Amino acid sequence: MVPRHIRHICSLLAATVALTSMAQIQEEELEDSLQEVIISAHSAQKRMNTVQMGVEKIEISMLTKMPVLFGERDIIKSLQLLPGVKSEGETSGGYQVRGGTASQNLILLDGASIYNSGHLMGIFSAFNDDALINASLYKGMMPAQLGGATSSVFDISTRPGNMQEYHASGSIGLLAAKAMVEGPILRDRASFFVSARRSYVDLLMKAMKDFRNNTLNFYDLNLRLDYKLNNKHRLAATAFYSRDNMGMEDLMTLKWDNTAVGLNWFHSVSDRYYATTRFTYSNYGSDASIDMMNTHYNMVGFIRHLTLHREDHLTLGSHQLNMGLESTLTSLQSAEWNINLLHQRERRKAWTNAFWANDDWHVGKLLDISSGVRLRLFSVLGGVPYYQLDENGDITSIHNPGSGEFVKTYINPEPRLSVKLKLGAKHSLKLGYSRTTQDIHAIRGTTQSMPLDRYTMTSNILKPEIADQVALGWMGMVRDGAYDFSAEAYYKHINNTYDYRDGKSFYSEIEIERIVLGGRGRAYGLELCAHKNKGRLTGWLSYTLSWVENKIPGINEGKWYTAPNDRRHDLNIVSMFRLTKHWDLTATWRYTTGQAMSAPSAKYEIDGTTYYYYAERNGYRAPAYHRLDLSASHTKRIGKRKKLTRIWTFGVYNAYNRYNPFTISFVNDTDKSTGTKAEQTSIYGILPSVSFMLKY
Amino acid sequence: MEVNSLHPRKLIYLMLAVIASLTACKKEIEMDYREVEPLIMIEGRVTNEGVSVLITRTRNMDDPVKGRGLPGAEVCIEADGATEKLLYDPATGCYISPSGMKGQTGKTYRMTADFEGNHYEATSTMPPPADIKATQFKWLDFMGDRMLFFIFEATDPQPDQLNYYWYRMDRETTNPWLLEHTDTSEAYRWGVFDNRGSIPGLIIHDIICMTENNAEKDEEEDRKRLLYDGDIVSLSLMTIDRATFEYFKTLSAGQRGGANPKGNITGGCLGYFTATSITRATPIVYHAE
Repeated sequence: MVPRHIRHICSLLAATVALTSMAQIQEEELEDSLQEVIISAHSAQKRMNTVQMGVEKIEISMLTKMPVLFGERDIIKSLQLLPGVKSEGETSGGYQVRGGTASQNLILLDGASIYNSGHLMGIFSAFNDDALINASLYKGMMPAQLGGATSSVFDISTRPGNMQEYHASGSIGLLAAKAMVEGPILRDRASFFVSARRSYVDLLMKAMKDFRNNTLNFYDLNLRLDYKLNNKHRLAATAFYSRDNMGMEDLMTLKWDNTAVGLNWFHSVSDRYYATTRFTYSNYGSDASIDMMNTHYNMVGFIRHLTLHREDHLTLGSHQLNMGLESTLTSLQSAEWNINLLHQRERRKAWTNAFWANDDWHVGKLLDISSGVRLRLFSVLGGVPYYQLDENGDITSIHNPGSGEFVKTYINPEPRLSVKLKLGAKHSLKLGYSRTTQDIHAIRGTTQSMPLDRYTMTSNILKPEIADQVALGWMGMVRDGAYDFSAEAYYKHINNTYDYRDGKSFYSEIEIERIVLGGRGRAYGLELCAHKNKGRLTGWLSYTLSWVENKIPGINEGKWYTAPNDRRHDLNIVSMFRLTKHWDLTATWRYTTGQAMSAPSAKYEIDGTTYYYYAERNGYRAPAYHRLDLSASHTKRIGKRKKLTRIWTFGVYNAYNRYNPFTISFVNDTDKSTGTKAEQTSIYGILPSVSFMLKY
Repeated sequence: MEVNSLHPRKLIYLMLAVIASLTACKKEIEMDYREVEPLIMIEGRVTNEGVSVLITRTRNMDDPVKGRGLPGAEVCIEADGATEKLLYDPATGCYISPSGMKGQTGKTYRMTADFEGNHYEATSTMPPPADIKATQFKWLDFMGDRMLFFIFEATDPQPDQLNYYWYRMDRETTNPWLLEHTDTSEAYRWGVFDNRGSIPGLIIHDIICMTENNAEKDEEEDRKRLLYDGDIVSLSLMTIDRATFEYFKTLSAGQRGGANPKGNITGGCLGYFTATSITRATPIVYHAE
């Protein structure tokens, strides 16, 4: 039964869409050309022609039209509106793809791995949209050149600087300001691009007596240099740094940062053969401290990758071959902590090598096949202690292999297959299978990504996560791409997913393998999507029906149980309307079935206090989540030569002020007839915002 | 000292709370709880002060009355080859030692209970006591507010090994609202911690009580967490074995995550059995400044 207020919202949206469509038809008769197409008909044709299944290309230009929180556009928040992609929660910058957790996603920025990619605990993403040129999300089905994640790979590329002209822009939002400059260093040969962003909440806090000694800021910086040696060789150097600082006086601090630098060499041998060689370094670090009364606590973690990636593209008749190798040295510190006089540290090293070959074969007019295999070798390296554990997680023996010594090597072949069958000019059927493995494991105490998450790697005890996914899809378009429709069904099975043992948390033991348990997971579902690509009103409607279940020994008596990220229905409506030459209006509405949660089935007393007995894991549902966001932006060229563009963006987050569930807790209350009450905490009500941008 | 009271996770929650303080909202929601067959719950203790075993059943979520101890079980405690059968005490609802048996440091105790055709059994070894040396209240300036801590110091009886502790803080109050709305059998604060990172031979533990701002506001929803002028605060500190530590750790964490603590009693019941040394601090009076 659909609640009444949801029916009202649906009716309102339907009426809005109908009215704006009518307005659009009238306007189309009056105006002979469209000012701007957000997602072009060409996009529909491209989606149709792509043989790869489960891939979503993100239109960066679309971001400028989306409703924003606190005036900041956000690529990750936009991602969460796509079919099969869900937000982790109200404040989180993490996203879940096809039943996976956020820790099973890999985010690559110019080929470098980025972890915990949220500013201010995820309110904003660390990616400044000014610096991005394109991004693709692979929802588990991916070509052989990509790997390292069992749920998805989000491949983001930064924007090269303009080689002919200088451009600059700046914007001020409620919480942050940013600026961008680009231009030629040597005309048509070399260019630069720099963008930077900083929040100024802390500057506002300085004005408040009670908060002036607190810290709450973030900043990020993107830098890119491009150099054309000649028509066949091109170099690009990229750098990215993002940092968050939070602190309550000198008592508690929390900091995290991401650094990624890369050098790319694009080498074209002929029209049929080109290659890319990439050298990247990335470092994710987190640092949490408490210095209060007699408690002095500090925990520092990091993940560092040094990667060489070589990719060769060769066209042979109807075959497009992609072959390559990737070699990565990883150094990971799951934690180094000082708890008063106690100092402990756990570091691990590994060497990962991957070799692949992928063939995109245009068999004929009707049939395309993309097939490949990725061979992944993960070697656990010595130089630090390794141990054996009993079933309780207690250490039974320790051994100390020498530095560089191979402790264990896991070899995993990962076959990939995607088949596209054209059903006439406007319809296609796709079928795919993919195996992916993951060796960086995030162990999370909550359902949301946090800077205090501990990470570890596959070791002598922890095995690589292995996911197998099959998918079947259909896509069709009408009226030359004005509308397109798609449906995709998937089934995924994951081995060796890890979670905390009951009662354990990230600081229970320094040896992370002692506090986790491994198990299996499965997810299946159906994704439906309809795009409207042409006209003044564009947008899409996506719906996902899905199930996610886990089976971990020691939890739920070892039986399959509903995973915390299981949400049965997920509906997103995104509509963008060009009201006038200057005004763009956008509305998004999302509805998600309430999060799976555990609720007690009985209660009892221990030492005089009432506690709850949980008969089943995640057997209940939180109330549904739904939210309407609105945005209006006014764009105008100004100045004598009209070289400046001024953009005002007004947004309303959670326009009908619904308090969505963030947490639900059960508390004893003697005033209740039952002695117990369930309490829901919500984070955001309605939040208006405004931002101002000036572009040159 | 282990940072149990000041868990690092609280850092995150506290920071989120500050960010969200302008718009966050709390409300009660209706839940349709699914009932289950009642389960047996056993809470067994051998201490240097005596022996008690409480057997109860779980209750439905809409049952407001706390469980009473169930008679009719055969409960025994065994140590050093000698077994003593406990007797049901209708006044407390517990099974107690008729001989006034008291636990001794270093001894391993075995509890057996036969009830309604089921046999339950557990063992526990009693660690040495940790003498409480000092207790005090202390205020800390915190973001324009002040936070009240209760701090205790105790001797770590075995500084060369990992020791586990369970503390319980009770308060005696004259506040009329609390007298009407609280159950004195409930602890004001409790927790478990270990001696990781402690100064050898010394345990210092901080317990967060309340903020001055909340005390001044005196809102009904906070009252059970507030201390009032003249409240008498007492502390008992128990040295426990690892199984008991794990039980209470999971009990505390699991209430948020939906996990049931795994006790050390075999036979398919809830609960725990522990042999523990108790020390008690001289009660102190809280004076509002």
